[in-house]
Amino acid sequence: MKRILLIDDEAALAEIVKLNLELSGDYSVTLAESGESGLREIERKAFDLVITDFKLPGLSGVDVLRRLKDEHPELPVVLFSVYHDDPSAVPAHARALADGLIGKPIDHEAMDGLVRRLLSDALDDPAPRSR
Amino acid sequence: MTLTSPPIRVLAVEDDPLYADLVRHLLRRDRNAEYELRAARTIAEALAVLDTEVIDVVLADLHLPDSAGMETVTRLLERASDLPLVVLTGVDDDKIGTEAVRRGAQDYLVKQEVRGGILGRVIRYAIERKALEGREAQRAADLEAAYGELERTQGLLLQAERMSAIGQMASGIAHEVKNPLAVVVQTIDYLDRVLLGNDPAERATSDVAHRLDAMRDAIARADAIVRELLEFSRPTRPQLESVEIGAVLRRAVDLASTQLSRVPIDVSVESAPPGLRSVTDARQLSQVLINLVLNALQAAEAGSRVVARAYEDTASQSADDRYSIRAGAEIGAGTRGVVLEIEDTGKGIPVDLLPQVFDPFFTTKAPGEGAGLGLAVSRRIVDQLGGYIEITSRLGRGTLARVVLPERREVGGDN
Repeated sequence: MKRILLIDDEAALAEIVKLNLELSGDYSVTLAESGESGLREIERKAFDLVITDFKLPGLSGVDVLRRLKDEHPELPVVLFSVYHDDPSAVPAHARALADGLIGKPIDHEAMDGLVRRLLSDALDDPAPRSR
Repeated sequence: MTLTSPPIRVLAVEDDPLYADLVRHLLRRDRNAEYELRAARTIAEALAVLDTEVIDVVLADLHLPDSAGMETVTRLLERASDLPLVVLTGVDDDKIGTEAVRRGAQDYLVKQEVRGGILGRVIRYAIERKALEGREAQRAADLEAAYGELERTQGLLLQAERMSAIGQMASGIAHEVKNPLAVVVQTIDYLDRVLLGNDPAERATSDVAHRLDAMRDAIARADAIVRELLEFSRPTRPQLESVEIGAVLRRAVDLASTQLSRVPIDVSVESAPPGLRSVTDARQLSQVLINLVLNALQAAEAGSRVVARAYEDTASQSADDRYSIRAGAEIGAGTRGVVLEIEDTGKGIPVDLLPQVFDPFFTTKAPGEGAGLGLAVSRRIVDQLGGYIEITSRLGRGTLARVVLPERREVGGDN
């Protein structure tokens, strides 16, 4: 079972995305409602994938992305945003740094496809991350 | 006025040579100013002098061999509206003098009462009064011009402010709506997977599947509007590159016609020369063209045609008729550029609505067909790309949307 951390301050959305991802039986999803609490989760538990909202109170999605790429470069991170189709709203460096972008409203199939691809990439990684 | 001032050039229009001599005599004796006298016996002579010589003031008897009474005043002022006019009247003609002043003369003198000091003084005051009048008229005209300019600037500011307020509001709404929409979409997917199996035959007959699909369509519509709102609220800098115009046009036509296929309408790209390129933003240009083709398709009726074409041309003067409206950047007539046209033979736009077509949220479409931002967004994009959009429409005949982009030699550095 792959472990996914989903960081989004919109509880109703986070819960239904979690339900959808878990429905396949392949994933277990942990929710965090801020960038800070998300980073704390990562220090406590090991994850195979992080999905973070772009716009968060406090630490932003891009801050979280940067921190994670710094400290856990092998951990795939997906940005989750209403701005995904706007090249000027999501900064180019964040785009380059992120392993994927998912727009809201979310097409489950697109989300599932992206998650599956990233997790199988991570699986192929010869050096699985510790912790 | 002192003697050092240049002489005052007086045109005396008087058919009585004795009276003309008297005037000359009186002016010569005036110590307060120097005068240069030109005499004319008829209105024809007077007008000839006015045509060829510089005159400061006209002194005129109203009764001349070729003109009488107010006609003399009218004819003199017609020719020299900027000159002060003093009329000479007979002793019984007081009313005529007043009437002459009412019509634009500066003053009048009763011939029999003219004495040394009075004549010069009346002439000099007439000049002063006329100058004052001119300055006042000039001031009024300046004021009027400044007021007009102010009104125009205020209009532009208001427009910019309104757009910015609408943009902020649109962006706020769009963001607030996106999350709830995402919750609904995800919930539909969840219900679909929990309630329905994967068997296509079963799905095809399932009411639940149909309801869920209808919900997806409704959400897609709401999402499209939100997307339009976001697009409108955040101007994005053009990413300039050399773009093959024909390819962009064909792709836009394809995309728009698959998005909207309720009535079979003949959509074709009539001409787009293969080598036609322009330095522009392909994504933004394509967005504009999709908007224009969608508009054309939505205006179409059974049997309508939509034709797209691209060619190289020079910018034209703005068509000054009520069937055309232009918006975007000012391009000098004759500037070389690329022209893209989307023409339909559909419903057309009523003349009284044409001035509003570029306004945000203005729409004549049915609910669900758009928020009325397509042309507002397109206008802004084309403006940013340095060009303009011109919509020409006739009710019942159809609409021609023309995008003109000026030629750019190089890719801009600031993208």
